[in-house]
Amino acid sequence: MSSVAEAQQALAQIHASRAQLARVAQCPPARHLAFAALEAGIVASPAAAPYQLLAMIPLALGLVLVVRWDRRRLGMFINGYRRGRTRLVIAAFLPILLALYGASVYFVFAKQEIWPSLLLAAVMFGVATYMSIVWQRVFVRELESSL
Amino acid sequence: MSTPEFDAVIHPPARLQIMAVLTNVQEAEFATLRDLTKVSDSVLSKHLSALAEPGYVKLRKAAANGRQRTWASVTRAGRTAFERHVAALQALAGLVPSEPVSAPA
Repeated sequence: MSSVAEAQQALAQIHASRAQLARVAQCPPARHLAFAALEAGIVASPAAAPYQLLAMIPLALGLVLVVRWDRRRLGMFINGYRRGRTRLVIAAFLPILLALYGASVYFVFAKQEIWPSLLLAAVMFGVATYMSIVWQRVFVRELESSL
Repeated sequence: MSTPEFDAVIHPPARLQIMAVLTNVQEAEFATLRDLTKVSDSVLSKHLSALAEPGYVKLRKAAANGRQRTWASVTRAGRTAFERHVAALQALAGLVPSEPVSAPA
């Protein structure tokens, strides 16, 4: 490594690869909806009491299928918890998930009511779809931005 | 901000491309990497082996649809080395206030 031009060229190559990855790693609407359905399932799971833990089995299976779908579709897997600016999206999303799940547990076990759980799951579905779209946008923007 | 350190193993263009992709995904399949880097199977194989030797990249084989496929992922050491190398390039390119850059090995 000797010249400034050579260093700039190497950085340009890295930037081009990142931008190309951003173009390839597209997320179809069905993928956002699949993620949202899994998150909504988590929030709705207390409604299956006393079989709430069994209700997690199809969710775990769904997660495995989504990961397999990504691997087949893209030839790679991008972890949602990856380093970078997308972690801010996750940091904003997780408290919402926990709050809605906590509320769902409260209504089922303290109030003996199931319908609020299902309503909260519907809210989670909307929130998770939106967060998934935002995550994708932040990911693409991060990869397309300069180093 | 990583300490700038030039890494001769990472520096060849195809390896920079491979590392730029792998540091942003959990795992990538051989064919995907080949398409992204636009090199032949044999050239990619050679570069992946070169990156695997110092432990920058981990390779694993998995069967899918009756065929063996190779998946590559970056290790923690590889990520650190890549970040340091990028920092060294940025310092040399004058994009960041310069710190002493370690000489090539």
